[in-house]
Amino acid sequence: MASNGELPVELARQLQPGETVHIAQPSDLTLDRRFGTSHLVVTDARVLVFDAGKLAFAAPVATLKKVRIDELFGSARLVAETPDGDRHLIYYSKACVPHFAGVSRALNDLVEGRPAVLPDKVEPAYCPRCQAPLPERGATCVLCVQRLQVFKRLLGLLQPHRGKALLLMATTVVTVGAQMGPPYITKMIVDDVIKGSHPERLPGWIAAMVGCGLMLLASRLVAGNLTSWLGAQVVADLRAQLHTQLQRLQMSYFQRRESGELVGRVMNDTGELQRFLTDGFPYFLVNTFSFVVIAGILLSLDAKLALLVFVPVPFLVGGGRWFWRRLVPMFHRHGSRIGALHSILNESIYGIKIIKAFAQENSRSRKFNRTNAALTNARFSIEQTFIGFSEVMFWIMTLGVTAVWFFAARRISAGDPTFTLGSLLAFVGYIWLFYGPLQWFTAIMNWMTNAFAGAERIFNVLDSKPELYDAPDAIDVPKLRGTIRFDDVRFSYERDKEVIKGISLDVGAGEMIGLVGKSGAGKSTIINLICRFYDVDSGRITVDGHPLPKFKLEQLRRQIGIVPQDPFLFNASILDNIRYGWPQSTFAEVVRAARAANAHDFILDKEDGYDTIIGEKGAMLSGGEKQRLAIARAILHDPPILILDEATSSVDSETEKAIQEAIANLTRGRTTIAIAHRLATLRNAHRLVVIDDGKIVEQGTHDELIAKDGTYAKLVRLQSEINQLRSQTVVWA
Amino acid sequence: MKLLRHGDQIHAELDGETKVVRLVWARPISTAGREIALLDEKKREVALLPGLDALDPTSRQIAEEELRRRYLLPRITRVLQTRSHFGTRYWHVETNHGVRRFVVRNPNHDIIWLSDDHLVLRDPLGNRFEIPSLAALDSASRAAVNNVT
Repeated sequence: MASNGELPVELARQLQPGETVHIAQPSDLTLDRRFGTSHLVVTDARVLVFDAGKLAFAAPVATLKKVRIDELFGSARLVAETPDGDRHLIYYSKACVPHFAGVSRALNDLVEGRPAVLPDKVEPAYCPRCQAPLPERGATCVLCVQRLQVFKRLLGLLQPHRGKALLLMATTVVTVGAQMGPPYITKMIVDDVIKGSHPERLPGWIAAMVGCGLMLLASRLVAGNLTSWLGAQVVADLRAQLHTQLQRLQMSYFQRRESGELVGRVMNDTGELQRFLTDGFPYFLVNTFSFVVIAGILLSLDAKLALLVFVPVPFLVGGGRWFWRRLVPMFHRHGSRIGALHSILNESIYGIKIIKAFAQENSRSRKFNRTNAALTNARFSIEQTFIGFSEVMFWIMTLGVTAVWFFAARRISAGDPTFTLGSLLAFVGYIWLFYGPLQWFTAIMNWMTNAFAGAERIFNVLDSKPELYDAPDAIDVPKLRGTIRFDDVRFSYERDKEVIKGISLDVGAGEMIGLVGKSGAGKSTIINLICRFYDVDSGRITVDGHPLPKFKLEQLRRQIGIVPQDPFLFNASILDNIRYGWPQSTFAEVVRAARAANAHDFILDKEDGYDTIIGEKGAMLSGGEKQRLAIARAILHDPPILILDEATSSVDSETEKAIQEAIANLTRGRTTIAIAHRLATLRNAHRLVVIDDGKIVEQGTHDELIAKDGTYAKLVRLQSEINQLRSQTVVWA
Repeated sequence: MKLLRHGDQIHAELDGETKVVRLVWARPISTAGREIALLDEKKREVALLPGLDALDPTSRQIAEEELRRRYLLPRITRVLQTRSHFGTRYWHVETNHGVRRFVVRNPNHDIIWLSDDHLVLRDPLGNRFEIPSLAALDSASRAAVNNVT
């Protein structure tokens, strides 16, 4: 639906000759907020709005002061601020929010006389193939999964296991063959041995029957093992590919997604696919194949009777489809009622103190009972439908069998020489094999769609753009000196909200810079840009005189040490956490680093010393201990450029002193960029840079900035007031 | 108090002072039409009115128009089709603002039952749709709703 595309011809015709279109953004609401189409068009000279094909607004870009977005209830609007007050340009539903965010940014660039940063490609809210609304932006549409393409790609994954896959095909043929045997042998025993003249052939036929059974047993065992192995292997390969890809994706990919969603994609989607590949797919394969073979056998036994057998087939398939369509919403309703009951139960237990305090036990019970009853109803209607389904299907099958008995028996008793009693028995045997799987055909197809949708989601991740690790013209800088330079750098995570608004800064080798400012001012973003987690929108960052994109990414990042606000530690020993990234370090080097970080003593104090396993996310350590481990890690790393991101934010004063000393040891001789909430932490900084709203507002030493009595001085005053308040509270307590 | 229009901007005249204001319903989902708050540009409350009746006719007209622009809650008049597919419920509906297709992901979170008869649906993008009375819908629509709630 809404995309920044071409302008429709009938609108283009309404432009002035020679006017070039920069932006043509459709909206899904008209100006009177009906569902329809309107367009915002920006040309080299004007801003225009077309409402349902008619020009509704036109003004030169230069007459606008600014555009902004008003978020409304159920919609939003783009508003132009003009000298004559606000003007509502265009309305759009929440489906177009990201599109207009980009448009607004670009339009403001033009208004301020900058070259416009054109909007990014937006993740679609509607399926580009079938136009159906998607469960979430950029999601895979399950309504039009391209089964064949996904299937082909999955087959491609079998390539390394070709031998086993071919063996599986062979066993499938054997399985079907062995299944086909017994009814035919029954026919021969009846016609040849019982009614015929060859009683001596009985042991041979019995042996054949036992042989079929053994073949079936063997082929099923082999096939079962093969499918489990192949299913698990294909999925394991896919999961590994997915993990490798996730590690190499750009940070902006993670910015837009929750980690839970990605973990779900790695585990759930692959799990679902594996279940289908090991259970659903073999069932589908064997039954489709045997369906064709049985149809052939029946036709060759007696074509007329075979056609009679085929009569119930559409009813079995159609009935299965009809029932399944009814069952699916019931399953979903059941699922969401379980969810509802779950959350009530959760609240009842976690909120028990409040429930008791407000004497709400009875109303809670009533609420629970209502949902509980609804759940029971949902379960009951599923069971009811299911029983009805299997019984009706069984009845349709018996109808087919009965019809065969009727017509065949009539022919046999009338003495028809082309049809024997043995053929009748064989027929009946094949019918059950033939009908049985038909009723599950729809269910299997549904299952396949679901599993393949998961596969398509996985392929989408695999097809996303990874970070460019080495530019083709990358330079080799094994050891940095550590000068950093920002040249009019601009940057935004999302197109409409510029976070860094033109920053220029020079940092000399070995200099320590303190970044100061309110939260949200852009300090952490500056750090993200130095590490090249993101690329700048415009301007340039150079290190040692080389622009960042020229570096080999790994080489650059290995020479930047980070002590983050909330250090991330892995669930491993203290030793391994300190030498993370440098596993070849000797124990003596680790101890030296730990000493310098004021961490050595507390590590030795622990029962398991350096072998202490620190638990998931460092659960076994205090905030200050984690911080010092992170510092030790950075010291061991010995990087020419060091970044301290609020390294002392969450520790008490005594620990802070220990950390301060550690930091002083760490920063000596390195280019350091430090962010600190407590301004005292930046005592050692050579220069303080005050950031506000994405711009540098002041810089200088502490004394210079205090003398200037500007933003920094205000921050210092505010903080000392808070500190005073704190100390007073302590006295009163 | 008086409301004035300046272009598409609403100004409130209160105690001889004129301010740019934003009009919001206090209870937009359950009880739109009752309490209206006026907020200034710093999102602070300027006034809370019990209803539109508290305004003079001209101001009232300005307020009604602005609230119409600000609140989009299409009322579903007919449900053309619903489908449930892998946990996502697909709706195809006719509303007083036109025909629309949308999805509801989790009925426990995305359907607000204001009573047994009155519900508000929310799609994952943040658009919302109202069914003021299930009983007032035709039987085919009711069956379609029942299929996915």
